[in-house]
Amino acid sequence: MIKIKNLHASVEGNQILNGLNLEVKAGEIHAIMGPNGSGKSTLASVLAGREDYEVEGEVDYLGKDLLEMEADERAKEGLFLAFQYPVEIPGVSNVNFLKTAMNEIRAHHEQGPISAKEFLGKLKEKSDLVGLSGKLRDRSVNEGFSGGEKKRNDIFQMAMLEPKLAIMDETDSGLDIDALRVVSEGVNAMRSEDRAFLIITHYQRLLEYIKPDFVHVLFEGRIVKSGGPELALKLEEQGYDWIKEEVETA
Amino acid sequence: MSTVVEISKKDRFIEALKGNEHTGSSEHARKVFDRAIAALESLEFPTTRVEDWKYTRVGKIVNADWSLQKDEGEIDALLYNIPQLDCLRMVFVNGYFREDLSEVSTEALIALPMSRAKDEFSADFEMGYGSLADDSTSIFTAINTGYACNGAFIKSTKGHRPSRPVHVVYINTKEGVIAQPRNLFIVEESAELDIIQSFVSADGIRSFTNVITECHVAQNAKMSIDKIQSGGEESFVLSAEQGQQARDSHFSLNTFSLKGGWIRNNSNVHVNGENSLTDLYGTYMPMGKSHVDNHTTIDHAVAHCESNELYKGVIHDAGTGVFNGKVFVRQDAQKTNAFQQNANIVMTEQGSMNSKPELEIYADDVKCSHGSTTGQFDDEALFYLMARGIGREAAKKLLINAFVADVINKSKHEAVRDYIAAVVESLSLNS
Repeated sequence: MIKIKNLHASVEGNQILNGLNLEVKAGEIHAIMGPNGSGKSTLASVLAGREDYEVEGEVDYLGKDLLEMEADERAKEGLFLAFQYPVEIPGVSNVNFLKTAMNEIRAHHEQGPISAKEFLGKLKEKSDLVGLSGKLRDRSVNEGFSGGEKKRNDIFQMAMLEPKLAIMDETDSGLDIDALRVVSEGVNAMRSEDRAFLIITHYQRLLEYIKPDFVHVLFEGRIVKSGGPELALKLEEQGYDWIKEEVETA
Repeated sequence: MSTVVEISKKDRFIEALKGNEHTGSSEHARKVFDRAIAALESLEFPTTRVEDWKYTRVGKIVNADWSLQKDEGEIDALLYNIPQLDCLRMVFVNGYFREDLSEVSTEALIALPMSRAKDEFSADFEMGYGSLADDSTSIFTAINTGYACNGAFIKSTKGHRPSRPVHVVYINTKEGVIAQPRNLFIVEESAELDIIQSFVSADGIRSFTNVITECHVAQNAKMSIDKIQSGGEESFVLSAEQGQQARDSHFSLNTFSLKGGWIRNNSNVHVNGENSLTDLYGTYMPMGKSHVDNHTTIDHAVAHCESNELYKGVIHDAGTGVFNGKVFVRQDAQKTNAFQQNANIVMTEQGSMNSKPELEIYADDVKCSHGSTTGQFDDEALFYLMARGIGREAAKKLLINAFVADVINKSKHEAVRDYIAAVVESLSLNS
């Protein structure tokens, strides 16, 4: 689904990603773990199309050159970023926002606008899935939401937009255990053979709820170690120091 | 031998207005007229050296040739209707009343041209006309008072709650026209009155509207005005509102400056009765080389009152904006709550905004706040919308609409809110 080759990214002269390679196939869940400052959020941002970075390298997404696409084109092609810090947008209602997004995506695929009935049906089904109350759903995007509610709203948007590749940027940070469970259930319900997830996290906690197929360790802008779920457990028990030592002695 | 007489700008300007001076039998009208003419003797057009006009030049107005032009020709006034708005409509063309396009009323809700009201409602006319607008300090006020075309007299009588608002449409139709409407709005004790004013101009013409509206809000009464300014690129609009509130009253003025080449609003309210509420809201979106200036004054003379001001602007292209908000809290005005906020987004390098709050507080037990923000477009929000599949232009449009939405929503009429939101959407689409 996505092939990342030798990806470099810098911002204001600071090199953050430093030759990152990764391949994710449809149906897989990959977790990216790493200490603070290792480049996790930069990876998510660069893949989603944030413009603040100088980017080099190759990213093939479903046969297309991802880095050539604007953020909205990436979303229209099925890429989704769940934000570490979802943005508050006063005055734009959640519902209007989602409808606009869905219809732009549909237009991109030469489909007509979604019918009111179908939209409302989907709205109800997906907000139930992530336990987003109607009251929150009808408010302005994330305005006055708690941290947990914002994350839940992002997962709700993901459920509505049904992306092919979902990148989750520290979705677990700031979530209490109940919210974590709800968010994870939402993700698990969306697992399918033709959808992939890239889960970026600092802690192993989220991975108790969402079982990854692969775990990668990001350090100094590169993936320095890859393995199965057992790698996440080891990181949880032993921290990141042994990784740093391995890298330094290598 | 010939004598060269130099004619001053002022004299030339006023010469063009001859024909509108006071006539008729009303003694009060004569008195007000004489006072204005006397004031004009010593007044001059302001330059940018005058603090009140520091950022707004009047040169294009005072150096231009203007003329009074009655237009009795066919006009599609429906063009300027607000869809779905159930209202009583009055239409003024180039400042003059068009009875054939208007509905008048002399019942509990009175809606008449001033030319009729000064005789038929002479007591109200004498109480209100010329009572609040101060000719001695503003040349444009004195010019209006001396040479007004006509205007709307609208009154809601004691205890009356009209079933529908009054929509007053001011249309300029002729190249080079100067229109000078003079309005008097009165809401009596425990009554309500809702008015919508639209200022529009025919495509492509250059025009100047110098309008004054005096508003009397009696005890326990409510008055709301939605003022919609939607002229052409060469329309100049100077709009002054003078409000006065008695105790337990509510006055609200929403100024929607949607289109126009040059707009200056002077919105002033004297709060003279305790336990009153004053709301001034506005939004503006200068484009091209347009200029929009909002000057407001709220004068709290008595205790236990609240005022709220929120003005929001989006500056496009090489547009310029000005906000100057004065709030006086006099010594007797204890327990005043006065809030003022001015927020702006400047979309381009060329656009600019000058914002100045001015609070003068002489009472010691009050709550007053003011804030002014001027910033660039919120790129984080833009990225969030784009990351959900919304294209850059559509996302910008959504954000601009959202930014001004809380001001638009201050209108109490759904039809007005929808109408303005639609205009704003079409504007941000083109920008």
